[in-house]
Amino acid sequence: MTVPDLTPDEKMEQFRPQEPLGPRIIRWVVGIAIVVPFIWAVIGLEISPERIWRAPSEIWVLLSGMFPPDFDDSGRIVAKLLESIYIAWIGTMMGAVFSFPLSFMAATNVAPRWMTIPTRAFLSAIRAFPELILAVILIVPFGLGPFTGALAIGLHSIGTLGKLSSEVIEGVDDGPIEAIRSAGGTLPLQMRYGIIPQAMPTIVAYWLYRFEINIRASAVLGLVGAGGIGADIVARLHFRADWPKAGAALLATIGVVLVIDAVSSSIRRRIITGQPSTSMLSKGMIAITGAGRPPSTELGA
Amino acid sequence: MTLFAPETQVRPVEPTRAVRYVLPLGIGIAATGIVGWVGPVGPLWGILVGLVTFGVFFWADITKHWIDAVILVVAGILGLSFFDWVLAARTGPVDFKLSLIAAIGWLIYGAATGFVVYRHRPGYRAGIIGFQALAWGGGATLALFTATTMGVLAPLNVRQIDAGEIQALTIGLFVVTGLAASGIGLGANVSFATRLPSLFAGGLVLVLTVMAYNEIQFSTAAIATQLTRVGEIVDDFWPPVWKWPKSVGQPETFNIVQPFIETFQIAIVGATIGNIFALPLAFYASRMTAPSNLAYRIAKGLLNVTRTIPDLVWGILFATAVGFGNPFAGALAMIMFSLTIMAKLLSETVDAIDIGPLEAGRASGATHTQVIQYAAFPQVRPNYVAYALYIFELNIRASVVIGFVGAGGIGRLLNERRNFFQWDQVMAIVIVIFVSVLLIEWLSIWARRKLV
Repeated sequence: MTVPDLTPDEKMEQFRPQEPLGPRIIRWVVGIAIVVPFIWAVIGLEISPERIWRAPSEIWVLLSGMFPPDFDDSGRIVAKLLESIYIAWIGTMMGAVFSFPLSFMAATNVAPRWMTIPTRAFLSAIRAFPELILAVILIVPFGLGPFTGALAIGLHSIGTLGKLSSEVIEGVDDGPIEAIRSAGGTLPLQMRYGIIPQAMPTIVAYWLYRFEINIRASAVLGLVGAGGIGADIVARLHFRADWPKAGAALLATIGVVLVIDAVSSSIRRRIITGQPSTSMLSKGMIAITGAGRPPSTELGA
Repeated sequence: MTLFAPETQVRPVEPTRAVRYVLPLGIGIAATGIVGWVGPVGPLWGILVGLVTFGVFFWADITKHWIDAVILVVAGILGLSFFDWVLAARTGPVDFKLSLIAAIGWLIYGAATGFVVYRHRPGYRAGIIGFQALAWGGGATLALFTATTMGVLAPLNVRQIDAGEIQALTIGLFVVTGLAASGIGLGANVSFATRLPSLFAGGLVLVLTVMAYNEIQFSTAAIATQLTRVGEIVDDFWPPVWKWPKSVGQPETFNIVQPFIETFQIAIVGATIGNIFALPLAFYASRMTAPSNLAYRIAKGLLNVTRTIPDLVWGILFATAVGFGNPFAGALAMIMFSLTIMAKLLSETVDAIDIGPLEAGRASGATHTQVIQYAAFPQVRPNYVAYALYIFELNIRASVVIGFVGAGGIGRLLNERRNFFQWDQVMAIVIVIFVSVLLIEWLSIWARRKLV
């Protein structure tokens, strides 16, 4: 019996165990399940190699048209951006105010089953409409303008905030609630002293987070005539081909969203952890004002 | 030795509650606004505002010294006279630039209030004076700038000024400016002095809400009116029309099907390519696996900026670049949308992986790519799959509306029907969207439960 002369690598190959069949089949199935629909979609959308090849140069033409941006009518940009912020703010406020009671009604550890099921269905139904589609429908009774945009954002926010808040309420520790119940506390008292102190920081953090999302949403509501900066961006890009001014509006929007994101996430961290935030922003503020340092005298002294 | 200590020792010191300061603050803000009735007479308004602020400081135990009253009143006269002078000397409408210049008056006054707080609260640095000045000045700028577009202050309208219909500023402008500036500024003063950030936050929320409520002309009356004629509105939308001819003279067909398939195709292409491209970017954007600090900073910065651009704005940009009404633009927009979300989620997951396998790989001489392939990626693979499913779900929701900007899919059809005021056809499309979004959500929840 002769042993074939094998290199070390080939010897290693011999001893490597065969991969079992199951995972191999699954890998193939998953691969096919991704590749086949992808090819179908690419063919359906008529994406040809030539088109892909042309895209970068077309995007470059747009970019070089937008930069350097033209900040001539910055007054109008600021006004429209403020309008976007106000739409998002009112929308978030509506969402927060109305979702708060609804989230208690949707939480299984507070409300009875006959109440949670319809509330949940209601919340997921309004959540299924994208803001833009809600705006399209609401424009019919309420007309064009920021008011309609705020209503659309508010309605959608009620759905999302209601779901998230009810999950927070369901996640609270039962201990304090039971303690209050055993001491004779009624349901409102259980909610006020057992649930709200535990759930409120997370819920407020979700409100802030929703505000960040709503700013982005309100920036595009102008597309359907529901107020904000979106209408200006579209009009300048599509209809007037005034690309430098569109670039200015876009840059301003990005700047505002970045600043609001930074401030909001810093506040959220502060709310959730209870510690002064470690972001550059709040560190800077503490360094300038000395606000974070412990007081050297008692209040009112 | 007593068994029970006296009750006063057992009970912990009650923390200062923000509620205690709500009444003085509220009355102070209201008073500053109301004395705005004398607004156009700058010095008098300054004296009144200074006295009101001193009253609030007195009530909130910040200061009881007469010299602070003098400081506030003098600063009030200086600052608000300047404010009044700038507005009175204006030649055009109150625009952003003029608002900024006029707000310098409030900046001066805010600095004085900051100085008073700084004088009486040890532990703060002088920088607090600047912060207070910014708070008062910021509130005033916001109020002025909003006032120019606000309905209640219509006489500031440039057309009316040009037509000679009005010459003077309205009193409402001064009232609103006083309310906004003191809402944010006074809130900041008391908040700093008492170390209760909620007071500043409360003031800010109040002012922003009032401004926003006016600015967007929010009206509960309109809601009530529209609710009474809900029947007429429903008549417009109901019953939904499922079939309509593509053009005049053609037979009626289900026009929803083809755009709906297109929407799915856009979502599939976007999610697949976006998820693949996000993979390397996510490893660059995590400190754990970035090849260098520079690469990390570039990738992270890029992600932070691209993430601020909403999906529909990507749609507008690509539709402009590669052609209006082209589903390829929608696919490109969805790629960017998926890419940014996936890269963010995955890079945060990579930040939390176990560093052991990475070090082992490096120690045995693996290249950077090999370390990522064999040590880093297997650790995050389950998360990657879960995120990919989630992003596919998001993609379907987003690609439904991407057509509004001329980027293909069912949104384009919806926008087109809407422009023809065919509300019953719009309703049919909305129902299809509603059902498919719900179905996808349930499917996605089911799939994630199966996988995890």
